[in-house]
Amino acid sequence: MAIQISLFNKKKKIRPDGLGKVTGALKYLTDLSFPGMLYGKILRSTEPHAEIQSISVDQAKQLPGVRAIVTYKDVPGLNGFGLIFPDQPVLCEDRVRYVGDAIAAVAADTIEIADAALQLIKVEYKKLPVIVDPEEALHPNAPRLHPDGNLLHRAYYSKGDVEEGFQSCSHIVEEIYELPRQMHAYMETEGGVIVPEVDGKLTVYVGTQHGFKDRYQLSRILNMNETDIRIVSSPMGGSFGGKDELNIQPYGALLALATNCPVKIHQTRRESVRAGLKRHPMKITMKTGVDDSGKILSHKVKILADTGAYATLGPAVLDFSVEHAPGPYVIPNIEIEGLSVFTNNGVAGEFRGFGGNQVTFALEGQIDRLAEKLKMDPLEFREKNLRQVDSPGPLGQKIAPTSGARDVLEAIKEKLHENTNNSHLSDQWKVTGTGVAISIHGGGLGVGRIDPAGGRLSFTKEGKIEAAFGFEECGQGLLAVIETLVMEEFKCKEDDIRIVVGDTDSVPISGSSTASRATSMVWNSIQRMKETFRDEILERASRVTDLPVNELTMGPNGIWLTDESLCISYVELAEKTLNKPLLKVETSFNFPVSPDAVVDGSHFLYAFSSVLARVEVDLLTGKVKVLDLEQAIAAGPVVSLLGYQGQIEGGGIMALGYSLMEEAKMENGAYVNDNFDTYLIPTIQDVPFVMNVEAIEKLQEGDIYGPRGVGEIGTIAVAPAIVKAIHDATGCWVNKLPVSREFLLEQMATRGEKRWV
Amino acid sequence: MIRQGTTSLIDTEVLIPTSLEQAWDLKEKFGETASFIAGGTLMQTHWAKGFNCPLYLISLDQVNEVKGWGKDLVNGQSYTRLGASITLDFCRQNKELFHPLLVEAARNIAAPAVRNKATIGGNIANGFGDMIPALLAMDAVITVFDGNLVHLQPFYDFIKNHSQSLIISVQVPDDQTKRFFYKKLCHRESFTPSIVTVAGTFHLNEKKELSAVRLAVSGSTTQPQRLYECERLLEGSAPTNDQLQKLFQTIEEEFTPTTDVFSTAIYKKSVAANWVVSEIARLAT
Repeated sequence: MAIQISLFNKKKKIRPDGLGKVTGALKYLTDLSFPGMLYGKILRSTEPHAEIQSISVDQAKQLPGVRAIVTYKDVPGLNGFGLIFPDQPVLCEDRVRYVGDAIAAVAADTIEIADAALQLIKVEYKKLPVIVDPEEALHPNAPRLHPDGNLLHRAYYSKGDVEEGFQSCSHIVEEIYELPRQMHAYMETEGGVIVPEVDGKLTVYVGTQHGFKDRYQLSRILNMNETDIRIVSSPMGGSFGGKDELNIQPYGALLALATNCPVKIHQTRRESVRAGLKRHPMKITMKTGVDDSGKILSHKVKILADTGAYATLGPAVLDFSVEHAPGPYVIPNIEIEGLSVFTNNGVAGEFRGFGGNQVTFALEGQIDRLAEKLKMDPLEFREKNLRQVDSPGPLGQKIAPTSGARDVLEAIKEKLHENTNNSHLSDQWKVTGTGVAISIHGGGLGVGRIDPAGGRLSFTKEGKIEAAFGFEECGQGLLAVIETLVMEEFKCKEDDIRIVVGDTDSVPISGSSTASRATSMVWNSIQRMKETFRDEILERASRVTDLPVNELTMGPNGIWLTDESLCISYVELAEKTLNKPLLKVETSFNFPVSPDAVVDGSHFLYAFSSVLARVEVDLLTGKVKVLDLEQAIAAGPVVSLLGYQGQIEGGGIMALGYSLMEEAKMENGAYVNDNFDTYLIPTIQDVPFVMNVEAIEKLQEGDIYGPRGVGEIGTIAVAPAIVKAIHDATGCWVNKLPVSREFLLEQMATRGEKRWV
Repeated sequence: MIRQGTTSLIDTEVLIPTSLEQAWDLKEKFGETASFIAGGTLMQTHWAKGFNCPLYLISLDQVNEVKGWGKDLVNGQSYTRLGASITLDFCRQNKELFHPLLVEAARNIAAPAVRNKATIGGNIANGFGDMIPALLAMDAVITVFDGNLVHLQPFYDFIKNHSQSLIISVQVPDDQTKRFFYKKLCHRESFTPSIVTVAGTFHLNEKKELSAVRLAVSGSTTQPQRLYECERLLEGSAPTNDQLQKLFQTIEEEFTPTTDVFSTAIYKKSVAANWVVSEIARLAT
């Protein structure tokens, strides 16, 4: 509930888009309507794996009110998409590989007609064997889902000699951890309107996390110039990584071009579940050994990720898991192998935490089990093996020096002392326990990847300080970040600022709103532009007012004299300099990367978290209730207080769901829970009453990189902390998420009969 | 095969009869193409799953017989009558009107928006509602219309026979001297169907002996069930640890839940047994 700031208190500023969002007045892109607008629907495969023998749209075309039906034959450019490589067909021609594969799309006068038309499209399938298990997929005799086989990506790292390391160990823990397929569960499902313009251009009003990337992918599909496509992509009702890849855009665009009418597609929840991305299910085998003193000597990791039918960001997610497998610990002998494997399951891709959640669950599980074997306090054990300020990164690369790991551990130690006295229970069938876990999380896309950043500041004709960025507002609070940083830098008021985001026709290239990078890159951009911008605006003010420039300063409403009187308002200054060229400062640079990293995707800037979870376990049902969830975060200075708190609390709740209830089950390639009546996310009743967030704002002396993003870090270490708390309460170790009550009840039952009276 | 997309509601006609007879005649006339509807909260979820909405919906909104609540004498015993159209929220809010076991059951169902519309009659008629174990444990009686006559019958007969009669009201004994319990397990704290629901009532004398024991169990994919064997086992006895252990085993034998994709029958049996035994131990010792 409360946020503790270690260095200074910041004003709790209400976010600029807050009022519109909580009152429902704000229009999302899926709320838009245009004259003559048609409604689109997408026909997706009924089979998880099959050859398409024929597609017949004749009958559907006859249905009154149907305006266009498109199939693979109607894709003018590349019939494929994918953020890394375009292996997913826009519209399938001869084969389907999962139940979200699109075969045809219909534009009609109403949703009902479009829906009825889908039922009239006849697709003949020849069923093929369905691969649902990644291990099965790797078998040499398994059917090949793609020309290069079923292995999407292998990532490997080693140092020292793990086998030799294990020889010197006094305790070794080897476990298999299993992580579920999680849904992003954004409130606004994928959708928007695609509008053909009179000049032959196309405007795409559809949420995404990277407008320019959508523009690029669409230009390939439509065989159009990128500059003829405009992407309007903010605001969005949530994304969490799930809308970074293309979703309905290609179908809306093909239909809009075919009909020359605006076409709206807005997926229902069931359509969204079926076609949308999920978090990678992973099976992680870890063998970790320590010596008598509690030093970790050797760590061997094997990660098997089920990436589903197509690549999207699967390779990058796996790289991230491999990178974070050693966590914030210094280990001399390491061997990590990751395999990301194609199956006929739902496509897995980008999701808040990006592979860090899965591997941190396994790693922290190892750490707690080893501490138990050593009979050592788990925090002391962590401390003993923790990275130092100047330690290299997890894969041996040079990183920005940071004491984050130690700081979060210290902070959680204090919370643990405060939290120990309130576990009295009146119910004899309930037990409580406490668990702690820590994490490290890299920001930005990592070394070897195109990761541009940048922004633009202008002084408009209307007298506004305009801040333009190519980032997207997806609910994370981007607008509040930009507003706060501009206000702090130029001492101006909210009204003095105009923020421009989410429109490829009017924003500079800033890179994607992913990888916890937007806040960090907005801050860095403003640092690079502020002096030039301030100098130029003061110079103009000086010329207009005839006052010496060194006596002028920027402030609320306008330019002030250093004796604290307003000498000219921004509006007046704009009016008097109308004939001057527009004052515009731009910057572009790349996200900072490690100078010596050898493994693609490894990071330079890291954030850290520690989590304290207190749970209550019901001995009669195995039900787990999280009573407290506290997090300490080391991610540099806080920019927007409520945004920061919201990210960590929200991330914590999302991870609570991941730990205890969320699993998008698949049976033979079909989703079992296809809506929120059976796919359960936490409600307010499942959320702990106490959820303190402590922000550790400290940076090392000379650190020039400013605030690190906090979009993901709040989700990483929650599951291992909850599972350790369950162990503390019951003595049962859990290796599989979501925690099965049934498993817990069975485990607890093995300890003999209950005394009922 | 997976059906996809939205279901069109445009062809459905809503009929609004003003008497039981009219309502019944409409159902007779349109047969399988028609369905009675009260709050409609459960039916909506079926449509969202792609099941077709019936061509005719016979709303019970204007049927006076199913409205309101009051006091009835049945065989000389005082009962509270709840009209079938009483909403779960009304039941939940009116602690002074209704037996606390009913209020507790209503409190645990779905979420506020659902409880505002959902009715007691609908909860019973769907066959898996969480009011059912509460009403079974309370020895309720039910008033129904079969097209010709208005009948009063024991609630457990109605449930056992999967009766298709139109529910008018349910009558609950006013006797508040019985000990009772009601517990429901879901996959999360609220707004989700039950995995296991248990309810029980019994009298306890000064010697701590139980009598008039009623035990009922259900779950969203499990038929509601009375645990007659268990009731007999407890009748007239004062529970000891050994006897409660015996009760535990008997519940596991007698309760026949189904395994669904989210929970096994074994788990449901264990939870039901743990709960019934622990509640009896709590209330009777």
